[in-house]
Amino acid sequence: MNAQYDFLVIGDDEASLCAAAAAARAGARAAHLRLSQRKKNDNTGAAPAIPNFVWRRLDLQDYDLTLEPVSARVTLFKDADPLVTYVNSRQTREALAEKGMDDHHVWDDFVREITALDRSSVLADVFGRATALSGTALAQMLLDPEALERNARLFGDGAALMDDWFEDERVRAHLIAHALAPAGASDRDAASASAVAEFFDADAWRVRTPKDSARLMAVLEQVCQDAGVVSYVGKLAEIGADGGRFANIVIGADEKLKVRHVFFATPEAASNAGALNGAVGAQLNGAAHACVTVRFKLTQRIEPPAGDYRSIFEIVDDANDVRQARDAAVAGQLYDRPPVEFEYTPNGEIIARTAYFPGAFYEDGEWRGWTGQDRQAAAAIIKNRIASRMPDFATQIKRAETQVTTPNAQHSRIDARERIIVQQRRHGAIGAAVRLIDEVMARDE
Amino acid sequence: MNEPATEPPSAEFGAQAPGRIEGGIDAIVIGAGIDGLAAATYLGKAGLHTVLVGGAGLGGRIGEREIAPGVLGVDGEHLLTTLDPEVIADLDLYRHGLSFAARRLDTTYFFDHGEALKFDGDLAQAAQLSLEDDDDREALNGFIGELLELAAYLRPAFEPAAFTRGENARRGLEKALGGAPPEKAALIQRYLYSSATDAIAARIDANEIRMSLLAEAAFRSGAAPHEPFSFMTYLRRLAGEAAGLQGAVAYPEGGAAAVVAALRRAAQAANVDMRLQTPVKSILVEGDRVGGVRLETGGQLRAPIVIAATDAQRVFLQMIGPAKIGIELQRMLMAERPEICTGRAQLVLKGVPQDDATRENMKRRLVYAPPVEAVTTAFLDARAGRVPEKMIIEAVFPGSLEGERPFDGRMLMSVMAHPLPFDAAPGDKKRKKIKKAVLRNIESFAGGLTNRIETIDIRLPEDEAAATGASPSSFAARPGIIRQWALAAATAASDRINGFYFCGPEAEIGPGISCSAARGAARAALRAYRKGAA
Repeated sequence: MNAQYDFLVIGDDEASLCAAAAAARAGARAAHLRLSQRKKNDNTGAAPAIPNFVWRRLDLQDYDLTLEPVSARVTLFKDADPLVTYVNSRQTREALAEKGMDDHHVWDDFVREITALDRSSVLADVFGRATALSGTALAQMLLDPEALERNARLFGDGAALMDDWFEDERVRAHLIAHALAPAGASDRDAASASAVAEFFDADAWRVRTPKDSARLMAVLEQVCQDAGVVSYVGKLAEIGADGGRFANIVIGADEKLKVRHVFFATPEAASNAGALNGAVGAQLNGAAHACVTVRFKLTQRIEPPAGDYRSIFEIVDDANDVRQARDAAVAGQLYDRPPVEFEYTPNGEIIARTAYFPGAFYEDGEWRGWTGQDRQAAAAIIKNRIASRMPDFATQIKRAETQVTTPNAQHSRIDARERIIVQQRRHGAIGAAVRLIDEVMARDE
Repeated sequence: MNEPATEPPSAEFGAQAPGRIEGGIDAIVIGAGIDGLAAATYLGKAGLHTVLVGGAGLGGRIGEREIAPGVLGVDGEHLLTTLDPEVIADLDLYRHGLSFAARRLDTTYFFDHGEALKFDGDLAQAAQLSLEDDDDREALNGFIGELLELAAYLRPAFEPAAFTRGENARRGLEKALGGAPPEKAALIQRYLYSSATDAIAARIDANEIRMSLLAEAAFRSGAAPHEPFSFMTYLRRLAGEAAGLQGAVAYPEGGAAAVVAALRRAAQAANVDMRLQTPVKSILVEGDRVGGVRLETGGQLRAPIVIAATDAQRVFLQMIGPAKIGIELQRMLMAERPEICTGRAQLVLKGVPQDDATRENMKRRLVYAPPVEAVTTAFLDARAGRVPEKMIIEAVFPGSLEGERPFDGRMLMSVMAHPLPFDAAPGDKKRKKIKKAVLRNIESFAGGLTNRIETIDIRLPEDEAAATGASPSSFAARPGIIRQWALAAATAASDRINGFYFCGPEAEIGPGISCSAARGAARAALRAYRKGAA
């Protein structure tokens, strides 16, 4: 008889492991499917934020990890001073005022309104928490002009939101770059305003990195094992309907499972499994982008140009740059000045990433996949971007490891769409995934 | 350019002495386009003394015009997909002369490399015509069948003017949408969020069918097809019907101008007092209710009901004024920054083809469907203000559709091209570029055709604005569905001015001729009038 589970969590990232462990600890029969073989230096770039409640739920204090909050968000411009904002709204306001930016007057109001907007939107519920939008709920939304207006703003473009609030080009570019970088999206994309709202979700700020050498992925795999999560490794071949409350899963050539819910903790996980296409709806950016991460080992530590070693840095020329990078990625082209995000590891390495590269290349009317040359070109672009802001950087590189994550071009066969749940948030994905697991379990009871 | 569609009897022109205040009117309708005509006819039929005032000719942007000597073309629209069947029935449009030369127009899709695919005009049969592969046929039939069913559930959601007022309509909407079984509701939810490219790719494998469906889904939409919420545009199309067949494309005898003609006769029969060339300066708002309108000449018309059927920016920001509307509506209207529009071209061609195959094809709706990547790039280009390399083209030959009506050895080809960059005032240089691009795309599926061009007439939002007096942005492509809903709900609420109703283009969901906003506004006005009278 085939093994049966309540949840099959699919994905090679931290959010997937946290979701699987949380489900198992809450008493569900949970399995985790890893799509690729584990590599020695496995990392998905910067370690993501783990909110407090997940930390406590998984008893992470018992493992070799430490809490360390992100100190600041820094944007390094081309010809202007860096801009720094903080999780604390008052601190940000004062920093902006110090730079003589008028936008400090509206900062508090902006943060308050965007957070309220996110919490009051019917669509955000459906979008972020995968709750069903019943016909009645849709009707009620249509019947309430104010609710519609709120939804239109939240699911409109980020550019309009910025126009509403900010004067200073730098503040706008800063927010857009930090909020949209994980999705590789631009401020003109539909629904990009909602990513800005996610960015202000407090969960995204709590914790960022494990202590010294212990990689977060390895620790979380241990957590899963201790919680009784069954792990599988292989390609997702098929999600089929069985007519009842289960989906039939085929992994690789012949491994068959029955599961109640197929769970993707991030839109990327679904895309990498080849299950995103049409399985869900409003993902920013869809399957269009590849994410390139480069880990730079340096001969000696390089002082950050602003902020400190616990900040997250964004390199961007202006908001227009983000648009061009995004357009190029959609059209299957490599763009040489994409926004690049980087941060320091505790031992002084720099991890840089950008999601503004195309998932596949479009040349002479044909699509083709990534080649070794493309990887090198992409890594060089990232290196040059950092070097353009930190002149010492290029000479200090000892080694660079490049990792390219591309969406799966071969879509898996998917029938039982109603059994698939995709967590859509990118900021604070871990917290959102664990909450979503809780909601699904509550609904099942 | 500004000639009225049909020469109205001189009595239809209202001469107003300056400073005169005219009373004895039950209702005033502003705007003599199809929505204004429909709304006025509803009121007139109910026995209200209704005055229709408009600054431009009858029919608004839809009117007949001589494209070349002896060749009449119809501006604005060339096909019908969403004309509200209730309006046809309520206003007896068939009795007033509306007739259809084609109830369901078959479509031929053309692709690069010279291939083509024929679809039956009845979408339920779409796959029958030219798909040989059983799997493809099954996939297409299954998909279209599902979409038609969902679109039927969603139909009330595409009539926002009807549901923002009146408890009955509200209950109707809740019942219709709430009545969808959970699995259908889940599908509606998924398609609401979906991008057109994803939704199509998830169900259809055959590349040519993908291109055809994407051309339909992206056509005339301001939402880029690779972005969330863009698939709904297609469901809106499929929810519509013009001649009693859901999702079909219809061609009325005489083109879209025939709808104007039928509405005009209906309005005359309903004793609507039509005063064209009577521009309105402002709408009088007294306390919380409407008092009438002030004309450009200085005179006033007083009435307890005013329905505005012209664009929202003019109505709310100019005629009523920002001081008297809510800050939210103001912000929403000012934030409208359209980026994409559809171009309209009418080509007079020399010579009439004699071979039967070509003549048969000219009786169909012809659509050039570029590759999926090219459509995406086209939207990115248009949004950035560039004229795209490739674009979706919809073409019909009105003469062939109306039974081989020749223009002594010439033919008229009516084209819509999408997407083009929206520009309120494109210069000559940009117009030339657009013209070249449109011709290049026509040439890519109808080789040699452009050599036969005698005249080409391109019409952009700027021209439609000049002809109607509305702002150019109201002729741009409609934004994503959520924004359309929000705009429609906000404008239809008419900012709670008693006796005032709005049914301009912003109150409609989707492009094309629909009139459902006019029906909603007129019915709401009548309900209020009867309550007041009782």
